[in-house]
Amino acid sequence: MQDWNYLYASVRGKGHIEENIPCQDDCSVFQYTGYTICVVSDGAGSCENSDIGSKTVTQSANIHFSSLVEKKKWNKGKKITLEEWQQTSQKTLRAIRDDLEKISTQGYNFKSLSCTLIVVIQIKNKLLVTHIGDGRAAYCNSNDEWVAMLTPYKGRYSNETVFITSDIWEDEISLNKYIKSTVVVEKIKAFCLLTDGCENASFECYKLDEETQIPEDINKPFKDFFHENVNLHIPNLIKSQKSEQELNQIWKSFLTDGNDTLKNESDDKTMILAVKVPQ
Amino acid sequence: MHVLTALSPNNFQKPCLCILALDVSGSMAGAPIIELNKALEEFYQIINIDDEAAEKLELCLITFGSEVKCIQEPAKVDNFKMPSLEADGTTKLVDGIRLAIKQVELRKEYYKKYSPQYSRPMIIVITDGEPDNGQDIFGLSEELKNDMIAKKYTFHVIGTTDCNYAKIAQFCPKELIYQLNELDYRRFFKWLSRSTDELSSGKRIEDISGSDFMHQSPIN
Repeated sequence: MQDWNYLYASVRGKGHIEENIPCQDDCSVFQYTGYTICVVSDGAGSCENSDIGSKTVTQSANIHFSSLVEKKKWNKGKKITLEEWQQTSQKTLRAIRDDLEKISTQGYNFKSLSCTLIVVIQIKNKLLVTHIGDGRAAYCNSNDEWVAMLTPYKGRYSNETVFITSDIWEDEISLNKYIKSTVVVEKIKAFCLLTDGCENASFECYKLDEETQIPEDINKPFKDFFHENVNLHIPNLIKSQKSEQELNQIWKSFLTDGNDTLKNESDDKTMILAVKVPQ
Repeated sequence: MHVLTALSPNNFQKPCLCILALDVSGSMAGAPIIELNKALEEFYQIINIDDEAAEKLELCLITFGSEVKCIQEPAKVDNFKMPSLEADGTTKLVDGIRLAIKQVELRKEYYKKYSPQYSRPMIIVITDGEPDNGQDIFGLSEELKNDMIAKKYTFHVIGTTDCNYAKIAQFCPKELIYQLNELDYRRFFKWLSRSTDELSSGKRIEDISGSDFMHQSPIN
């Protein structure tokens, strides 16, 4: 028998601790019979209520996407096509955006709630992925290969991206440009989704091309970040009967200062790591 | 000691251009230029020993007196030595700012070819005076206004001692003008060395921690 385990946490970055700014990231894992919804959200650093925005969309994503899965009976084995997922995920993200607009009537400026969103729904051997903005996500197949499953949207300047509050909802061209959805169907032993505060630690992002000396975003999960944790340390923790709370505390501590890159990261850091561990 | 362990890749740091447009007119002679030189040298040393900053921060130095010069093209600190400034002449402040804007444009062209992303460039003007008569203040005002809307760069003027804030405000939005106590350049550059990310992101100076030694210009 095998089972899935989820480690998830959001921690403040070095810069936010020094500035006494609250954690603007949020994440959650919602487990249902037959499927699990994983959500990470990164509140825009320049927006004063983005911590409220990220918490709101995380909860709202659970409500709307669980409703979608059950309505479509995807959790009961009904076929999911890429086209249907792309269409329905766009509509569902719009509903989440509208929830955020309702919150804004409680005295928050709508744009001050700006945040990104990555949603991964795991249904048996499928991962349904959708996102607005930056951040990263990847899965590990049965050959121990890590594969990226989204391309972050990056603006002209670093830290510039598109948010769920951005003006992208009025026409199909914008929707298709800024909202990307995909379906992964493969034997999966682990997957992750993370905000950009974790990308320097866990992804090869910008590498200099040796010939041209021009850096490119290769968007490649860094195997040495994941491999030992997924194959050794996390299975050992599971076998030692750690509770979900204890696991997340260990994960939180790891994301805080697990190595120099994590320790020195100025931005908030969020990662959900899902690992299949033989029972 | 962590139960979990992980190695991380060496990712290329996105470049961040900081242009310092510095007043070297005659009024800066004596203590002001001595203090400014000390502060610049300390700034250089702090960046040099900070691996992350040294890898991403590109400094460009422009001086304006009777002449306007780019005395250091954009470069990382390990590629140049901090020059020592000498004060003399009048204050071609507007020309100095225009040269800074030109440097931003040139460097952006370079980044577009050689870097997938870069931080928003910063222009910081330090002056103790006012622009010479006959300089195109109103043309500059219009240019700055448009560039701020287009987020082409961040822009701040830091004034000291006898700075004519009313004249500066004729071309620069008031909220971007700050006053430094006496000749506290060293404190300013120490603060700048740890605040470039936030300044480049467009954050207001008063919202960046440790900036309480600076004040909005007295004309507000």
